[in-house]
Amino acid sequence: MKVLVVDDSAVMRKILVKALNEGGHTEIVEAGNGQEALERSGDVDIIFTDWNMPVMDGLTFVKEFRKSSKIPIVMVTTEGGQKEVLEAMKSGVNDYVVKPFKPTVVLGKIESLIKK
Amino acid sequence: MSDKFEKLKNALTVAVTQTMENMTFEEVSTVTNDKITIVSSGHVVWALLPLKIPYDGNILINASFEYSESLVHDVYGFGEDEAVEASIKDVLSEIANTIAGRFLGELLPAEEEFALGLPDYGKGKPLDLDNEIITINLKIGEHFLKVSLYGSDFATFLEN
Ligand SMILES: [Mg+2]
Repeated sequence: MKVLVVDDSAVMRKILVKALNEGGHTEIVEAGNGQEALERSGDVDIIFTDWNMPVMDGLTFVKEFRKSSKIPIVMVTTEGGQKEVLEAMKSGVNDYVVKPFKPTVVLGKIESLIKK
Repeated sequence: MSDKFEKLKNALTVAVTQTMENMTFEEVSTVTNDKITIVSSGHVVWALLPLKIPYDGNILINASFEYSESLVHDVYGFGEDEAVEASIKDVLSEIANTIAGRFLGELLPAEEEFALGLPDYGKGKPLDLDNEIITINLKIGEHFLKVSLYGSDFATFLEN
């Protein structure tokens, strides 16, 4: 299974990749913004995406991506963004994780979304 | 100590320890409120994250250059050739942002909206601001990290 990790912070990408590795997911593609994510999303099975990013933000990316794909998208967010989460869900995000997250939470999302 | 001060202190302590443990994969061994001076043979590095809504204030992190560098190289595995300065800025900014969000999430009722500003970063002498409310010192492995909450809105919060 291939996972796409989208975040403008290289550190946040490392943290997510580390969590995914713990669950045995080693096929990972990284992108630093929505534009790169669109270009690299070809054959991935699930996406974890940040919201605030330069060039193309998470919301724009999700709306664009949803025109052609139904694969699960998980939003990675800071606490308190209730409105943001609602808007994200309406735009096609399936679920979300709140920072700071434990690896088990990230892995649990994959489990529940892929099995559905 | 007032109940409100305890509430602020607990919210910040939870935010800081959870953030550091989940983001650096290391156990936080000691949390103290004593004044600890961060000694660094390089520069002290800091990240400042403004809190906007519902309280105006700031979360400030001061760390030694050595600790920040060890996070970048040992914990996140960035190569020696990668820009250390940019990575340190990235690490501290993400940590400050996460602490701030977690802190307000802990402090406020679940449905209450809040807003954060954009992080600022610097190095040199430790940064200090007016209206310090609480400082929490953490020992993580061999390193110290200082996290402070500032803001007159929080002083008002404590008084009312
Ligand atoms: Mg971001």
